[in-house]
Amino acid sequence: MSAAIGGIVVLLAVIRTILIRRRLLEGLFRFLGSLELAAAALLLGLMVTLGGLQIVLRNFFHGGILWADPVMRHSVLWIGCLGASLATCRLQHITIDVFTRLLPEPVRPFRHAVVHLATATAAFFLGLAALGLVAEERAFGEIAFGVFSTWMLQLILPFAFLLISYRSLVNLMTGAGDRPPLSTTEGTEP
Amino acid sequence: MIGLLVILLIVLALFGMPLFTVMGTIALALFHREGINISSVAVSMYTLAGSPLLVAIPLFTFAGYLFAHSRTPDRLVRLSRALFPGGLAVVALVSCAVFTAFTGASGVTIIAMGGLLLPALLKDGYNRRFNLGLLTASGSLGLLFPPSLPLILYGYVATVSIDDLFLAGLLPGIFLVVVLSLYGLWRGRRDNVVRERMSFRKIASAMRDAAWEVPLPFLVLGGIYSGIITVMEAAALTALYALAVEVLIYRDIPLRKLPGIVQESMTLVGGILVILACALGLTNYLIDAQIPMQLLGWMQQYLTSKHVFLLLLNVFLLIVGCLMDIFSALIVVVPLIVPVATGFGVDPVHLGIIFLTNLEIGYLTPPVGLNLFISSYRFNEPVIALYTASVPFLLLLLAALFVITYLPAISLVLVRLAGS
Repeated sequence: MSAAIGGIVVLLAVIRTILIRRRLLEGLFRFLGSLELAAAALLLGLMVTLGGLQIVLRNFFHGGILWADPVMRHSVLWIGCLGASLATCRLQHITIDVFTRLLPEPVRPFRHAVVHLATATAAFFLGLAALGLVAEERAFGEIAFGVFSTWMLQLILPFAFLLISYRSLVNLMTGAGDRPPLSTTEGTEP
Repeated sequence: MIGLLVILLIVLALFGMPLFTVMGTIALALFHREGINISSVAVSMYTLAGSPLLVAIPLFTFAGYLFAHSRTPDRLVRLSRALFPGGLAVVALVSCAVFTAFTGASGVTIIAMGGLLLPALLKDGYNRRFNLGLLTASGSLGLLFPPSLPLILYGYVATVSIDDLFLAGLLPGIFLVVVLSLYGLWRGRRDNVVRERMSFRKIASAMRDAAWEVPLPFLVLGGIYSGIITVMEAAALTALYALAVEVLIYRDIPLRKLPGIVQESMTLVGGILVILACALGLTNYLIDAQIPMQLLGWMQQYLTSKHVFLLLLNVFLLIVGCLMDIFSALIVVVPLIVPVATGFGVDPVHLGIIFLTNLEIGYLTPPVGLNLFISSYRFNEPVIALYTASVPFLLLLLAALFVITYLPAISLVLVRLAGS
């Protein structure tokens, strides 16, 4: 089972790399990317709205929405997972990285390749661990809130880690390299 | 075998392998070795959905990015300039501290405020090297003020009351700003810089400009301290407020720029939370294996005095602070240190303040403090120039750290007053 999943991740990454090289289906991938962002924005909007509503309901009407709290807490998990896979795409994961600066320029592509490969492998195993959790939870059948079983809400974990693994492989094969020191540089300029 | 893997991972981490994969892999390997199903690591990850406190992280981060992308830095500087007539250096320190408290992530302050303040400081006659040091140091000043994210994260990881931490950070935070401000005043006098007269017209005009932003700190902090809103609700309120003010009222941020801001802030949030998720598995293992207690026992063989322990702690944390960013340092080191420090009789709330002050200073400690690189990038100066520029500030902050470490009352007096 895990070998099959690994095979699919590698295959998808190879296909994606070929598509990037040949500049094919760019519109489709831009669309998928905006879906991902829309999901994060939607969850963020939900958190802001529910949080605001709770303040009003609790202080002025002495009530509140029962499911607001679990929805907000699970939104954190989902936003975290979506954000983490975005960070892989944008090469913006938090790293220590004290030595890369000292490496001579010609060696750097090699360093990037090793790091991407190690990241892909680690994320793959983390994804498998998360899949194991989902399977166990599914057998257990607990309901988290409303119509949502716990395992459904946990699905984001294997999804995110396998996506990170796939994206790291794509980074490896496309030779993605140095990241900018901080993302906030765009936009803060007048 | 596992020792080899850990060494390999640490080497890879030093070459930029994402921290979460390092934590996650070590956790997987340890659980596997004990014959426990690796899905246990994922069980810990799922606890991210278990804490109302973590809800604050995406919301405050989003609000922070909204402020950074709007003209808030501009208005904040204008207002501080009108209110603090002691010269622009003091203004820079105060406004950066306030900005950092609300944006949390240290680099943002230098990026957003630095570009604005550096030309103004130069125009007023401050020496360039002084300015560079000042802005680099200001980049992390304010981490001790509520509602800064590192305070919240420390509270979560160390299971310490956030309300207590929010109170404990106030006086040490003010102390750090005052120490650096006194230096700024002295330099201002020496270099004969321009100093503006206090004028009510200017104050009124700056207040009018920032009329929508000024109430926010009072609303949020007042709400939290009076118990009307929880930290989670305060975060939602801040995000909602920032969205309404910057997008609808000031219209600093056009709607088409919002997706980009969501993307940037959520990338940072994802980066932090994924480390937290993976580290939770690892710390659960370490705590089950009683590693912190063994560490304590080992240290107690060689150290008997709390004061020596605190000194060593400071040295250790300064090194951590210049190697790691504040979020990962908190997530990785706090669970190990808290039981040890408690064993030596250090109050966990006081420890939190010591911790954050150290990490704040670590940010500008050569050779690898993060602020030095961000400043070098932002101001287009070689890193070496920033090393020398930040030395006076570093020394002053170290002296202040010494006071904060050995006088716990500065951190704890407000907590005790509130408690009684």
